Amino acid sequence: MKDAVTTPAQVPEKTVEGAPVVAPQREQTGVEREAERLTPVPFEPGTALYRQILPGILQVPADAVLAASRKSSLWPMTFGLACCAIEMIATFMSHHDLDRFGIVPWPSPRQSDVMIVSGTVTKKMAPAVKLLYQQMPNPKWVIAMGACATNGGPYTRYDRVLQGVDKIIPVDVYVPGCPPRPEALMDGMLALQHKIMEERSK
Amino acid sequence: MVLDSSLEVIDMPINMGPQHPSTHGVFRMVLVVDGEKVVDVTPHIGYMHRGGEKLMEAMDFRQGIGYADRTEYLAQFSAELGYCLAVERLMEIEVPDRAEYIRVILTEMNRLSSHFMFMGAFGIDSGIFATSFVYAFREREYLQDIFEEVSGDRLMYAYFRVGGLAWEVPDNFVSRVQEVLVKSQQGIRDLDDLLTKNEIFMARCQNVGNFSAERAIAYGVSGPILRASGVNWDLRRDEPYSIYPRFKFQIPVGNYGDVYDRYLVRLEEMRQSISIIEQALQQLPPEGPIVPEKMPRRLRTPPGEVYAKVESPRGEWGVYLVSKGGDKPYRMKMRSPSFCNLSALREMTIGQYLADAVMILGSLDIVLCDVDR
Amino acid sequence: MTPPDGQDQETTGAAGETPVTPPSPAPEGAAPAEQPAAKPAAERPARPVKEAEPKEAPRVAPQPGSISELLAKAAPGVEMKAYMVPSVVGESVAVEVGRDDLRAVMTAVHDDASLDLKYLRCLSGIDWQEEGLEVVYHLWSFSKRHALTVKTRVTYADPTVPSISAIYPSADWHERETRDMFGINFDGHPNLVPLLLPDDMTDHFPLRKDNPLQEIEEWQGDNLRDGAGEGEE
Repeated sequence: MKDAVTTPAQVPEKTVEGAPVVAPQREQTGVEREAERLTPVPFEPGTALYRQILPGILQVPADAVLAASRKSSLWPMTFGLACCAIEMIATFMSHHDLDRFGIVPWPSPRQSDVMIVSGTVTKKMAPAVKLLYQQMPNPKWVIAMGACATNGGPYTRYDRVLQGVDKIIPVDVYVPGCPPRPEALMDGMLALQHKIMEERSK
Repeated sequence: MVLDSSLEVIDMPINMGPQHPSTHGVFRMVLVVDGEKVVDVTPHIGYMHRGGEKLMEAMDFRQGIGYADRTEYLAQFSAELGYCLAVERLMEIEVPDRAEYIRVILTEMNRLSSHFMFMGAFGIDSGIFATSFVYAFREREYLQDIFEEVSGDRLMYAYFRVGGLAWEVPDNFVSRVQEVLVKSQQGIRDLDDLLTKNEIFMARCQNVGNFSAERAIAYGVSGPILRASGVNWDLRRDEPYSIYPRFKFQIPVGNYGDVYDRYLVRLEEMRQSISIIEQALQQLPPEGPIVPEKMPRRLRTPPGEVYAKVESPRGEWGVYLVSKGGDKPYRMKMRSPSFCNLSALREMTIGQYLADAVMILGSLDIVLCDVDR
Repeated sequence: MTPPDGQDQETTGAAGETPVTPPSPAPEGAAPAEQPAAKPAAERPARPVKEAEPKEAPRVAPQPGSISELLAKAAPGVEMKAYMVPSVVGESVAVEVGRDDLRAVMTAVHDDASLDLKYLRCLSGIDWQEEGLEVVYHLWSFSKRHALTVKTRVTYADPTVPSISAIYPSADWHERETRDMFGINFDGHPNLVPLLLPDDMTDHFPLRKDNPLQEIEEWQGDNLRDGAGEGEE
């Protein structure tokens, strides 16, 4: 097995610009490291396989079918951070049921479509958020739930709080409120479904 | 051929990262396991550190109530009560009777809703995929409905004010509370039938995470965990605040200090809360002011300090308020019960199995915003 | 508009400040900038003496036989200033000791049978700007049912306090948090790594008064994706 070990110089550089750095060097100051950990993840939609295979005339109905099926079965990753998580869970539960829209909460990022960022994102948590976003396969969407995820919310004046999760990941739907009512979150999910249908040709 | 001397046995570090399926918020534990037995635990917190204490120094005594809510987001009325008690003590304001009774009723109903949440989340930790959670949230919805009728918000009430309440409760308050109590009693019975005598639940909970009374006191643990470890101590009875001396209720105390005892203590506390609410409804004066007559317009405290504590569903929620005069606090330290309870996690978990570590964490019933403030 | 009743306060509150400004270290000692609505002095009732110095609460010495005397017996040779502080029901005793005597005092209160203060409720740091940093310990005894508050003050130049985590294990995390927030170094702590702040961002201490709140970014449009925010609903 020893011969199979490659030295670091031979491993191709696969890191994307803005990916979180795993081991910060000691010479950097706190401010520089903070800037590094807070660089945003760019929005890369990628190209779907069916677009490359199908001839042009079949792509339009294929887009519609696939967009309709994607929007009807959005699986959010349960990313409950703070108080908004309680309202998010209440939306999943039996009184305001989200399962009737096909929305099933799923703990793993590898099999989920939507990331509902519910709660304040602090600078300590930011690299984890970016990593989870990158672990989700395309197509993926992000809903920023609550005032804290939108722009920092009531904690925006504190210097360890990220003023909005859209500073590090691209967000599709913002749901205001502190915390937003379950009906408001449902409205946000339905708005996302509408957006998916509208943007199906992208 | 593999020689034994070339193999090395190490203890494996396992990271339960900041995002994991149990709903305790962003908490990271690095467990070092030897096979299945946990050898060391390093909790990492601070992922939800939002600076509530610093921001409260810039808010006056009415705006700070919203921050107290958001710090302890499952027992909001306890947090608001602690904050208001501290300021009222410094300003030497006396709260009228009717406001006190309504405060107690709402705080105890909040204890019910917080313990329901615990039952739900604890059931998930022990392996019931979502059944207990769905039951628990059904009960919480009834409670949140009445909280919404009273205060206007489903989760962040901000209803208590320094000196009393913000506004009068609706006219059908008493009958609504009685309706909700009937439903809550049914909900407690449902969860009791589902969990308490369930063989799997008992096998997962009994003799797990035993914690003795001396160690609990040494770690500053409070609340149901302290009572489950055998210390007969409840702030409502032993260091009473507000009008708790007027009610008769019992304090459940456990014997073994394990996870099953903590569950039973909380279950019994819910029943005692219902009894307190019923007594309060009988004694509630039908009419009366909800703020004192001589209430100052601008809330200014004289210089001084005070440590006010309430018994929240998690333990002792304390407010250490230092004021230098003026209408903002100079230092507002929130003594959060989850912080002290979580510091005892390491000692509780070492020597247990890996699956039990999740149960122990669930039985502590922590609220991460409270730990990190 | 009548001045607030029963609260004869000449203290300089933040009378004109809006809550948005950061808590600037403005000294409270200056004469009040604005007076409440004018009322001739003859109409007001006689004011208590403490009004002359609105900055600090008056210090009342504890009754004889209180816990501070037990403490003086248990930890002889330690100089301390004792006074009463309010608690929600009644009052309790607070004791100020010097930094070097802290460990002796804490060992005494923990081990001595008449004090038996085994429960450390709360450990907080306070930033008094010119007067230094202070650490406050709230202790409780389950068996004897009495409380004690111990305070110790250090200067900015030498913010070191001996750690009591060997005596009270609950102080472990509290001391780590106080170090993160105030920069007070706890001497003898087994594991003084950052608790609440990220490991590499502990350059400045958030709860010190000279650390301001950050400004709100007014325009968030740079973060929105293409086409977002342009349609007016």
